[in-house]
Amino acid sequence: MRTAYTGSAIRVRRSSDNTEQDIGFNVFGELDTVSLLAFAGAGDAFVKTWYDQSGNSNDATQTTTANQPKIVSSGAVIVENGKPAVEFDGSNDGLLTSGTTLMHESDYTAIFLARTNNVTSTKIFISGGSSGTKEGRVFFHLNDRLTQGFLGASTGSNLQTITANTQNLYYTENTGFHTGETYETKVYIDGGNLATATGTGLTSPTGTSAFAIGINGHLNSGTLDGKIQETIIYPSVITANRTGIETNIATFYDITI
Amino acid sequence: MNGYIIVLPEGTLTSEHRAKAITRELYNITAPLVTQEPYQKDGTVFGVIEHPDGIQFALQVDTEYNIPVSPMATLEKLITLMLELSEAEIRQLSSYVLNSQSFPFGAIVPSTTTVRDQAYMIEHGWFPEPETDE
Repeated sequence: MRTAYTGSAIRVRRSSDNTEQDIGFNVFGELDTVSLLAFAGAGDAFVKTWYDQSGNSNDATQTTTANQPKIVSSGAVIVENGKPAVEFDGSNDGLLTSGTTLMHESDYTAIFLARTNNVTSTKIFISGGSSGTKEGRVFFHLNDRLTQGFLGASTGSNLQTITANTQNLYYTENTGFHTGETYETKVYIDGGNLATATGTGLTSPTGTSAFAIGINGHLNSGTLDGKIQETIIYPSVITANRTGIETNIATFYDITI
Repeated sequence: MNGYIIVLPEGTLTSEHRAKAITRELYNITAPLVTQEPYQKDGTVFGVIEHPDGIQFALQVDTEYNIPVSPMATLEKLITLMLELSEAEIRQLSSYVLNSQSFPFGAIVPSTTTVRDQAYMIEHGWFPEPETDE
């Protein structure tokens, strides 16, 4: 949770009657699971909106109920390593912002804490599309290979091998993605395991488009079969803060980096 | 089963309008209009995807998706949108839905409707898969 943020964490829908409610944080700055379970009852609850804490209102939303990722299953909060996790069904779930320029920037940092349940197909972690065909960027796994690609284009960069059913902290620094530039993507998994890929940027994004969590926001496909607990995007490279951010996330989620 | 139902135009309804109306009516089974809060006015159950030709639209469905039934639910509008239903299927559907607390979507898919898989949709140009250099 961002210190300066005072809003809710998520907006959820319970399955029994499609009623919705905002869920905030408890006194420890964690998701208020007491309120969440009181609302969900014995049924399921799904995330309609994952609120942006940056102050830019880049809330990620899904109004189509069948496409909303799950946060409560049969009266129990879905967790990964003991902390609440948003579960994507591998079929059609995904959360999308309205028009943004997230991941359009030539330089940006994307951080996400995620787990995939299988590495036998192509599944999306996060994507930042545009209204064109070859501009947006996407982080996904092509079978067991973590990959950075361009939405709608037959090019991209395989980064490194990942393992199914493993919670991983992905920290990515990305530079030079606009037209004619030489791009570089660096990915650290769990604070290390650096992989680097370079190539030539395609067409510079124009306008705004959906940034998406757990799905290819451009093609509305490739839903993650797994869980996501954190997603952070900076419109710049913040190398000096990398270890501090990783340590903060690792401490909160009790993971080893 | 997850898949896609390509929605054909009918009468004055385009493929797009009909697909969006069907998914909206499915939502209204759980939360009928008379009970809805303002935030529920745009709720839908299934996503609608558009073919690059801009003419064809399809519902992205999960036949196992469970739809809770409100005691105040009505089916008239949904039935008028699902013209593929036979008279027998309409009677069966109405009885089944209105006597259930919930039902899987697949139980009301008309017998003449085909649920297409991802490969079919890709093959017919609905969307390409993301690819990468090897």
